[in-house]
Amino acid sequence: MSAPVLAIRDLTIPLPRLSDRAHAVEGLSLMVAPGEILCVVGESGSGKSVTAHAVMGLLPPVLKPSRGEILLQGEDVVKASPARLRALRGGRMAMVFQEPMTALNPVLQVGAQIDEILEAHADRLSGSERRARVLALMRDVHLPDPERMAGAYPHQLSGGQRQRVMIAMALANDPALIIADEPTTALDVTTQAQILRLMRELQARRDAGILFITHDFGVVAEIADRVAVMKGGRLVEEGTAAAVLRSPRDPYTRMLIAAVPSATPPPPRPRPAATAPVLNTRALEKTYGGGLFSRAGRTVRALDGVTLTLQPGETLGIVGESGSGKSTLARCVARFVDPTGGEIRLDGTDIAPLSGRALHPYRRRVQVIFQDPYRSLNPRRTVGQAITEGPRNYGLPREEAFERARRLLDLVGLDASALDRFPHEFSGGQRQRIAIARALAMEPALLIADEAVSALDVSVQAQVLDLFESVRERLNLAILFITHDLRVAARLCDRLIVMLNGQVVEEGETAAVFAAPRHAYTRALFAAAPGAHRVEADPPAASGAAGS
Amino acid sequence: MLRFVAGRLAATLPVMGVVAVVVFALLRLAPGDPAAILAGDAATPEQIAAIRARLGLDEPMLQQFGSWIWRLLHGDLGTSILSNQPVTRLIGERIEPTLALATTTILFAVLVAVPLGVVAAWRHGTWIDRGVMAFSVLGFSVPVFVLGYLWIFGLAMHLRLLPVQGYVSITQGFGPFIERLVLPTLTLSAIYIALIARTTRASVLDVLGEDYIRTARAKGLRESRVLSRHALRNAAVPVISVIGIGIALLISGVVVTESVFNLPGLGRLTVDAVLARDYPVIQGVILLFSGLYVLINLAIDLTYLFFDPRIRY
Amino acid sequence: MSAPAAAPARTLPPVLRHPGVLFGLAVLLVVLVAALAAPWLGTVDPIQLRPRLRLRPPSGAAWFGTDAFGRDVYSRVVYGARVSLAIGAAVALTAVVLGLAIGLVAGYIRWLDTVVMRVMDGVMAIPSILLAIALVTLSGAGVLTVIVAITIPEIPRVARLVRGVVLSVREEPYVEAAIGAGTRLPLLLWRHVLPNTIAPLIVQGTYVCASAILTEAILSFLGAGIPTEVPSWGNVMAEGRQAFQLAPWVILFPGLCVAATVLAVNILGDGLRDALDPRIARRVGALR
Repeated sequence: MSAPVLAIRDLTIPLPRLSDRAHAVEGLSLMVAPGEILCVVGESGSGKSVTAHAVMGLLPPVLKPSRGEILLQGEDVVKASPARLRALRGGRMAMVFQEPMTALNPVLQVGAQIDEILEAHADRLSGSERRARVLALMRDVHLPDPERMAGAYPHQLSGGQRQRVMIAMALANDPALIIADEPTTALDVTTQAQILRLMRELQARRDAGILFITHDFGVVAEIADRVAVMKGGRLVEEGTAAAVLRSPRDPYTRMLIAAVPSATPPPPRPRPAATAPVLNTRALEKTYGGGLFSRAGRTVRALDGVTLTLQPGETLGIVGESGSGKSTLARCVARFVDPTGGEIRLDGTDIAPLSGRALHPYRRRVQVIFQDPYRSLNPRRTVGQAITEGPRNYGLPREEAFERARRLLDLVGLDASALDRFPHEFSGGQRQRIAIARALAMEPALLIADEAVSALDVSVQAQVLDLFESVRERLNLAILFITHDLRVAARLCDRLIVMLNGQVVEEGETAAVFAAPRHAYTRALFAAAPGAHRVEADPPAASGAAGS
Repeated sequence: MLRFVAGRLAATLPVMGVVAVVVFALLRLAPGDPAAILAGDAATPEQIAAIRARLGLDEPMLQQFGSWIWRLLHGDLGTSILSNQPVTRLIGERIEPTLALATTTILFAVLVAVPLGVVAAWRHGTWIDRGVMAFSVLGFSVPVFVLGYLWIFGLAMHLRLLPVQGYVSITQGFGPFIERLVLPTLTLSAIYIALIARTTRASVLDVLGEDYIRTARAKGLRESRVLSRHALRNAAVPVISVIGIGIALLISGVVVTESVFNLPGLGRLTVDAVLARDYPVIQGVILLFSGLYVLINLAIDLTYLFFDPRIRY
Repeated sequence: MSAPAAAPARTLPPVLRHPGVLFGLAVLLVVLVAALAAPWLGTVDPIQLRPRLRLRPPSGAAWFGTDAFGRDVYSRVVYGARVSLAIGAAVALTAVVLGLAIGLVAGYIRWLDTVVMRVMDGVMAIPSILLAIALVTLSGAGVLTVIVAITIPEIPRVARLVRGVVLSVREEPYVEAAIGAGTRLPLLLWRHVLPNTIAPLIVQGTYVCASAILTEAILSFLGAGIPTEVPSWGNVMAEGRQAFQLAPWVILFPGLCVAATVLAVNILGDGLRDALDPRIARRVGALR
């Protein structure tokens, strides 16, 4: 094996006092060989991002390595002077960030932003040579029509194109090391697949080492040569991708891998025979813009003729990428927004035209679990107040409402003492349990989960999915499960609807959709799902993924 | 882009309309009998009636408003009660010193305040930052005229560096013109510098926390370049907008500063009108200043097109 | 969990530990006590004319000197604190209450929003001192007129602030959850929206108070404020205008009092802002 591009030895980075633990990173040693992709995997708080920023010398001033060294081609980055560090950054190492929208300067043309990194490091190049190099780089990352696109501003590009610009920027000076910090997490699955393919391709052509930070074992399976798993700032397991994926040694790694929802749906469960549907929508439409004062031709059809039916006890998955209209659908059915056309029949009554007082009695029948557990609970109100607010609005006496809240907390796996505590005292997963309890307190007929597990770490995600399953069984609830993740949908849903540009493009039993997707877009989604191509030598780590 | 310009232009109309209505309503809805108050304590009923007739207060409200607006649109701001001259002519005679003072103040304030704010943000938490912030709080707290008198005591009377008061038109030589504007400018710009420096600091500080600043640093750029090319341009919009909003502050300050330094501008005109209860003049000056404020802010909104490529309706 | 001090426990004690807040409150307390205890602080009748003692410089008999009518400047300044503080407090309170009401309406009733905010824009376009001058000229000088005249231009700023808070809070999922739970509008505003406006309003209120004290001084100085029978910091200084080259103390001492008091209120405001919630910095007061 040739000399490593990057060698981290015994790196320790203390956290400021009063943090929840002493070190962000503790005694970490890692190596990246030339031409190798090392995936560093971990959940939030594992120290993986701090490590990446430490290598670049981009840590905030409060975080300083107290021990260890970070050798970039043998040169210690920790001890480098500011000027030397500037020369290394962008020259011998480069970084691709998670959120390409915010990582690019919104007021500069993208060509100029790529040019700048050449100007800073390759000063022997003339202006026209740099220009040629910028266009070549843009071609390398397959950006269409580089001449024109170089003059575009970031907001004029799609998310995938922006990330390609970031990658072009990183490649500009042929760095020995590229650090990619969750580079595909903010992207749609199909875009993610393209970016991963691009990174693989560029990797094959150049001899750079890549330090790839991710939380997703699906992505690991797609791209990694070797894997390092981190937990609480420490390395828990390291090995080749095949070895770690096939036979993980550490229990934590095993749990992480098991928690990734399998790409094969479980066998269909027995369901009660179809009765009167809880919900059916007919030709539901939502058009934004087009008001009296709006500019002509600026209307957006967020929902375009959506028709669906949902039986009691049934879980219907709505799958789609950003902009597909799936969240608008949820918000229309929950009547947070007014649909512009069509019907929403709840237990047979069309609630689409209702508002205010007339809508009030129906509100309690539909409850929503939101995506962001940190914003879905009012920070100033106790958990008890949050859960009892709804029932008391509908006339339940205080004592009974609290009795019900206590019962529901037990149901979602929390202690009754939670009632008097405030949301900030709970973790993300616990908050999502509270949100579920709050929704159930209304005794709804229909539960809408709008990306309800997307913001959670995989291990927590698995537990919350289990909770949904058990709640559904016990209460015979109808669930509208909105998600961008096919694997998550497979785990829970009886039927699936795939949405694209506000329309339903595919509908069917989950198993049938997975076995034989009819629409080209659905097939593209399946092909893009990370980990779809992975060597599934071990039995699929299905169900029972760790108790709470 | 055309849409943006058209939209902004259209948005100024209702604002001007509201200004006109408020100014109109002031005279008509003020508690008490404005005609009696304007006429003064020693006025006879005949004099009060004359003033009432002159201001058109004895006609029906809607008719008053209609003819008032009609005259306004034809550039007729009414006639001064004191001097019997058209208000527009009085304003024309007095506008030069005011424009001169406003221009020097804005230029001086921006040139001083923006660098102060940038440096304070860049050296966030150091004594430089604290110094700039302390100066800014002080600038907000000292009444304009007190500051004016302090300058006069110190620089004009004690050290005899500059003339105490008065105004010389630019047509009579640039040297004497500027000499007499130094102290008024120093006085008036204090609060404006405080405002702009504070906003610049906050805006740059915000921008320095953005992801693209981290990207710029990850590219290995020099700090000076990160600041000038990436931070400042992104921080510009709030700063420019506060320069526009601050015009309101400036206008209030002009009235006071002109009184302190005896500049024969619109501020003096207003103060003299207050003492003489010459309401048409006050009303004319208010309409003029409000119109200027709206126009300047419109112009400022249009500069956003240059600073932020995302604004393309 | 990890950090014990967090969101809802943001009550008084930590706020009071902030040095800016402490300093501001201390200075204000001194001024307040002086204003209330004016008769017992070695003052004489502040409106008594003594033609033979005109324009006397500061001395053991008249600490701040006398003005052109022979009135004791020290006594006028101490009594004048009453007017300045009263106006500062009254304007802050009125502007906050009215601005809150208008901001809530604009933020929550969509069709009214455009109309209300256009009116607010219009009021903001009229320079506040000139608006106040016009009002005072028309309605006659007096404490009440001055309060009204200073309050009107401050309302739009408070209203905009509240509207901004409302617009961002109403997007919060917890507000939607409450709507989904059948909470009706008045309760929704009271329970979930209003609490978010309290901290920024307290801060904005102190700034309004500072600005009102300054504006009163300016109005009275220009002769469009409080009549001279009631001493206020502004009209004490106005009396010194004609003779300021001979008797600078008539302007200097009240000027320092205004500056010190307004400085204290501003520092209090900055301190409250940092102590209550640093995030509101970007929201509060486009003008300060």
